[in-house]
Amino acid sequence: MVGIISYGASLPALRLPATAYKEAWGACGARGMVQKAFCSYDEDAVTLGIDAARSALGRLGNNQPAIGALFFGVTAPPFDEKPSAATLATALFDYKNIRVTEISGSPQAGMQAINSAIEYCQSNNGRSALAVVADAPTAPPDATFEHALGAAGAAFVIGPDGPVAEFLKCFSVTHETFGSRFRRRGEEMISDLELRTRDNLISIEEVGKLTATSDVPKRMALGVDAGLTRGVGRLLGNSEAIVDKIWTEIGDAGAAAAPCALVATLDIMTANETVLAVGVGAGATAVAFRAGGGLSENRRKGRKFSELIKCGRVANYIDYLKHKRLLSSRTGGKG
Amino acid sequence: MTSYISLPTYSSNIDERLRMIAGKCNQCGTLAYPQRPVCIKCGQNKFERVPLSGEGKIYTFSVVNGGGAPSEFDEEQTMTGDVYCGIVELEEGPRVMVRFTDINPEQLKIGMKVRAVVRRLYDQEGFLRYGAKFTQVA
Repeated sequence: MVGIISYGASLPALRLPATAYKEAWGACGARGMVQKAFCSYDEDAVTLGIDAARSALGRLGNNQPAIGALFFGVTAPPFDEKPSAATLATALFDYKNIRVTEISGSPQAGMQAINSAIEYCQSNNGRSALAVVADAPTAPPDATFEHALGAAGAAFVIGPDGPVAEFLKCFSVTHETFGSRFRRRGEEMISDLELRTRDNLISIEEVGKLTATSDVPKRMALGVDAGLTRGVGRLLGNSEAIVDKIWTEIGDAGAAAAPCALVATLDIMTANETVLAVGVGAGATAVAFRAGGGLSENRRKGRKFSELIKCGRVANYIDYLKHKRLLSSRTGGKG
Repeated sequence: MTSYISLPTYSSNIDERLRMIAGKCNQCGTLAYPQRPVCIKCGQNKFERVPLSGEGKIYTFSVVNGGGAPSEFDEEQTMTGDVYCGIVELEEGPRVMVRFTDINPEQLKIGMKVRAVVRRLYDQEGFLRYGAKFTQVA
């Protein structure tokens, strides 16, 4: 069965504690967040993606399969036109006969990249693919929803068999959204009218209706905020589900949120346990996996997500603004 | 490796920069990174492409204080302070001029183990350039 051959993750170099927002603005708009990971001046979604992919491929040593396709899920690529996925492929492989696809437009993009890699392997018997997800969304510093925005990357080598985790099923729901998390063409920063429309909750409820017909996984990898995490197990049909909590430590990593939650969950799963990873935004993409016998060996060859969280350098709020170019008169937040 | 590169030069050897591919002289076996048109030891001009590990140690370093960096780093230096650069002796032998990143300046010293990571080098002429920088081995 098609599944995950190897996985890895990357976090940027810097951390900002939630208390920095309390000191600067009087309150932190990201309730439940302890700290977030953010990019230093020379990092972005591309560098995080390369680092995560090298981690995933490095765990395979000399047993790396030929990768036929690379799917890059990202909402904040450095170029609107000029595929960053090609930069990834050039940085990773010494061959050029590889298909690259960039998936963007919503925080679902990360899980859509993973699902696309799975579908590529299902339709190309014996071939392998690489799903890379990385993101570093930016918003105006005086917007409350900016407080949560973090950055992260993850990568999954998908192949014809899944010794790390076997693919079980994919569920997708789509609905039009208004006013929540959008970025018009040519704009650098995301907007959110903060209308509290329950869009994400509705998406999860819809996924719950679909998963009700299947065996409900024991673990949930969501990468959504602390408020949405509460009660999400019940909505997905398992009120006892063990839900990841990485959002509280890295913030909202956009398209990378759910895939990083999947990485953190794989880090602690045992063989035969099941996990449902759900990316949310203008609908939802959910992918279910069953941990395989090769999981523990693979994760011993790399750093755990919890270790990556700890190794960042804590910065203050002014340095945060400088590294994100939000104080620059020349770039004005242009990433 | 450290400062301004014209776009044609950058694009002609982008894979060497991102994956650290050295040229190994077909005649004497000398490694050159970045690659050169002729061997620095024997003058021969045929090379085999050899990937480097990206690991090495600091041979020497320099700290460029405010206002001293080339124009392509001006914006970065304004935002993040001192620029750290130097020469790294790679495990395979070549010595290469580099920028350091995520370095604790108090721990910066000759002989320190470092490894290559892909980072943004700078943004000029409306174009982002990525390449290898070196960071402390955890």
